Amino acid sequence: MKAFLLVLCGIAGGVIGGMGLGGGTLLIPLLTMGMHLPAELSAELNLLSFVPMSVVTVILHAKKKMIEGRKAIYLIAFASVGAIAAAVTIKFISAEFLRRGFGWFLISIGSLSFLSDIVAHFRKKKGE
Amino acid sequence: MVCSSVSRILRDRAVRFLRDFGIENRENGNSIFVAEHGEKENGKRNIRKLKRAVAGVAALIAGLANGFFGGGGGTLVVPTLRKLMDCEEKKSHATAIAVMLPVSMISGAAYLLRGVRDLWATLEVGSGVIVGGVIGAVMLRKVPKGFLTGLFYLVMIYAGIRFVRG
Repeated sequence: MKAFLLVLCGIAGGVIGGMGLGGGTLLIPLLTMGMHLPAELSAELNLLSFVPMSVVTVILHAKKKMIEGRKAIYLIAFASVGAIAAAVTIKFISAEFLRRGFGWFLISIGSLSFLSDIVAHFRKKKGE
Repeated sequence: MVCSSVSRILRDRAVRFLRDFGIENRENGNSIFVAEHGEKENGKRNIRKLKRAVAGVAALIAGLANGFFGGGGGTLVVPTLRKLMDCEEKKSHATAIAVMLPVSMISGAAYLLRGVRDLWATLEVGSGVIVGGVIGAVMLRKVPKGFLTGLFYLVMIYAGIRFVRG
């Protein structure tokens, strides 16, 4: 049963991730709050499962010429530095702090994206 | 674009005309045109440079967040591509996945090295994510953004509040 639910969580997170909306932002809350997995494990599950999924979706998107290679490489350079810095420093940061940080991260990104969506929606309506 | 190139051609013609008739004054006439034109171009280039720099910082933060929280960096990369790098909406979603792929490999490897392991859970969640990912990738091209994404953002905010309150 648990295995089945984990697969379901994966599908839900995968759909959102494949759309490029940030699968982790759905999958991690599902795994920690829904399945009561430890936060560190669900973070790792998200990262590891994202890799094969994104290989597949990147190929799918690349075939349709949806990926801007040069912009991607520019951002990858900076984001990799961030990822390495996080990997080195994470052991000095308490789990409690990380959990709250993730919460605030979700709240701020979620509300900003929601607001910009609403603004874009009304602008479109005005233009019509 | 067209306007500026037409005006540049006209200016060049005017400068050449003045020079041909011996009215050209390097200190005043010619240089004014050049300076004016150059300043405008410089301003545009500076804004582009600034945008690029901010995009780099945002990508750095995305990488940090992805490493610390184990995900979610992509949600920052999408608006960065769209607002700062003049990327079309659907393309920026697709490109964001390509950006997060190597970054997640780095962070994932770091988690593995620290010894967090659960093989079965990884396989179960992983297989679900692959199936869902293909569905999502096809949906991205077909389903218009709107209701679904709005709902997703609300879920995100709700989950965030739950995390903060503990």
